[in-house]
Amino acid sequence: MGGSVPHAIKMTEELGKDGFIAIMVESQGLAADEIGGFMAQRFPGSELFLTNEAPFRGAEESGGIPFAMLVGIDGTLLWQGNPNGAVKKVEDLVAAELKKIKTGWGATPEIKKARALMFSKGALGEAATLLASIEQNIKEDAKADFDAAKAELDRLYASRKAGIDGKQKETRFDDAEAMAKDLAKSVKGNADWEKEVATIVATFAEAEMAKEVKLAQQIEKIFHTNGKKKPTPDLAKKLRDLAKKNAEAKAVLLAEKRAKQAEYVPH
Amino acid sequence: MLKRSGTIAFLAVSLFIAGFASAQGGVKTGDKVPDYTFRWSENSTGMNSIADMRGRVVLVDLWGYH
Repeated sequence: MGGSVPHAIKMTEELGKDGFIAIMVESQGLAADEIGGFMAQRFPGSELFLTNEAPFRGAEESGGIPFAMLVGIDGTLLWQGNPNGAVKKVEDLVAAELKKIKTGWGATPEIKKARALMFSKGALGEAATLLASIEQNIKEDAKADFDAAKAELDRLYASRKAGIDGKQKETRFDDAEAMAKDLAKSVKGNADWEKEVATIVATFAEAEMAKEVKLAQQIEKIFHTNGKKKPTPDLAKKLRDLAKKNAEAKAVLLAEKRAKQAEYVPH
Repeated sequence: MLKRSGTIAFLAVSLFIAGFASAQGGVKTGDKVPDYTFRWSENSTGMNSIADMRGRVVLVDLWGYH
């Protein structure tokens, strides 16, 4: 397993809020539905992007692990190799990219500021207002970058809405509600988006949904009883008892998933 | 004879495909990475593809549970 997972967790905890993402690709055949259990037992409390499918292969990949690739803010592959032998190199490259996220980048000062607003501040509404204000006067040599920034903003808004849907499909109604409320703050300044997100936020106040949110919160509280220590099998019983009392709720699926993770025994 | 010719042809095609795949060689440092849509086992946030992660710095870490 090496030290790559703990290092990715540490970097995510320290830099996730600034725009760092770690995608952990399990490459020794662990089934997709086992990865969550494995991580809960071995790395409790960690929040990483987990999959068992590599998105692409690196040219320097020999087939052995650990192997990592670092992708920059514009989708360029910045580095690839064994992360255990290049901790400082990776951290320096990450720091340089995070600096760009903080200050923004672009062909004009306004595009640069708009990118800082959307990617660093999460201020999507303000970024949309700024881009709209310069659209008529954008010079020909900056037009392609302006269009790119606008497309990035639209994609960011769409992905944050998709995240709310995704969390509901996972029956993490608690997270979905928090993400909806957070998005409502982010879109302030753009009337269309404000209206659309207000509708989404309102769904969480409906009686049935409010029950699902409350149940998901209870499930997560039980599952994380031990904090940074691994969940224990006795929590599985508590989760299943709670599920029995709420058999009609959608969040019972979350209770069962968490129960399985609590009693999962790593290979 | 026909069977042997077929086998040789099959091997030739296989070697060509293998050579082609090797020449593709994966993404080189400095290249743009191809887009890809993930199937997450945990933690869906709406960022489901490499393109969704534009504007972030992304570490793709291949590891094993053993």
